[in-house]
Amino acid sequence: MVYAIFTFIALGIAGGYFFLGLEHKDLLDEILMSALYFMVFVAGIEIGGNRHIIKKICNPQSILLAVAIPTAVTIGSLGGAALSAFVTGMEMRDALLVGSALGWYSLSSVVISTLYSVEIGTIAFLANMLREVLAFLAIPLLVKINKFLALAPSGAATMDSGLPVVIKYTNIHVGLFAFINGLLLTLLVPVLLSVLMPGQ
Amino acid sequence: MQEIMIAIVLGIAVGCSDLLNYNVKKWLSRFSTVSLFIMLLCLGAKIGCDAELLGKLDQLGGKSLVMAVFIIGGSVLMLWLVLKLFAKTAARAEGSDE
Repeated sequence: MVYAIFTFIALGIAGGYFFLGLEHKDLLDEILMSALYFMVFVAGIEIGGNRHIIKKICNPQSILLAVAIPTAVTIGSLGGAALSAFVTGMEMRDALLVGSALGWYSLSSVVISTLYSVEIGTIAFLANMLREVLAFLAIPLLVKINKFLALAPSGAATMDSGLPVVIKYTNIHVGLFAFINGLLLTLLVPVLLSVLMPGQ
Repeated sequence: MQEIMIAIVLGIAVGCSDLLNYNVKKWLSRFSTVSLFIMLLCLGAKIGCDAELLGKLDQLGGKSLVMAVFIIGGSVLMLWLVLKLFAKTAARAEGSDE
């Protein structure tokens, strides 16, 4: 499956480079979103068909775990971004800003480019998009150690594009935690961006 | 984001209604895998068709790749540590229908 994922992304890049132009971007977006809606719809059917699972996580320990997972992912993302500043030579504040996107590249790149710097906005876009692409490759390997580790690489995307992949490699139980993780991280991104944004 | 919420809520409603039999669900799951490949293809094509973005990839790509690897590494490591603390809860919550 990892090879299939890698092959399809590579085929897409090659196909896009040789046969498509910028004018096709809207069409690609529409196909991408349609495929995503369908996958999320099917994931919903699986959750609905296994509704006893929802009851299963309605206990204090599971709720604590559901909150601890996004907390760990946030601290880890910011910590990793801070460490990368030493390697890339970036300003610590800029690196933290890129990390605070938590994988939500579309929002962060626009906000950072508009309110702060186009270059950091571009890095936020690329780094977080690469995060999503690399997550597709990392998830099949990470689940061999612990199924819940599938929730770390995608970040906020575990509630949309990452959700079907997480469910495919783990199960519907972990999928439910993935959805909650993505939801909480998505809510947190605008807060982190506004706190870390210079001059705000 | 709104559409995604609608799609998942609709899916949960259909799932809860028990309208679909096992075979239909199996086919839906297969179509879902095909959709994933279509999504990856389009994601790649979106990068490939944008010459400006490809140019920037060359310029800022190395820095972004290092950042992505560190961010993923940091979040995986941190989550791994937290899962050690929640080992029992995680094992129970993980279920056994894989």
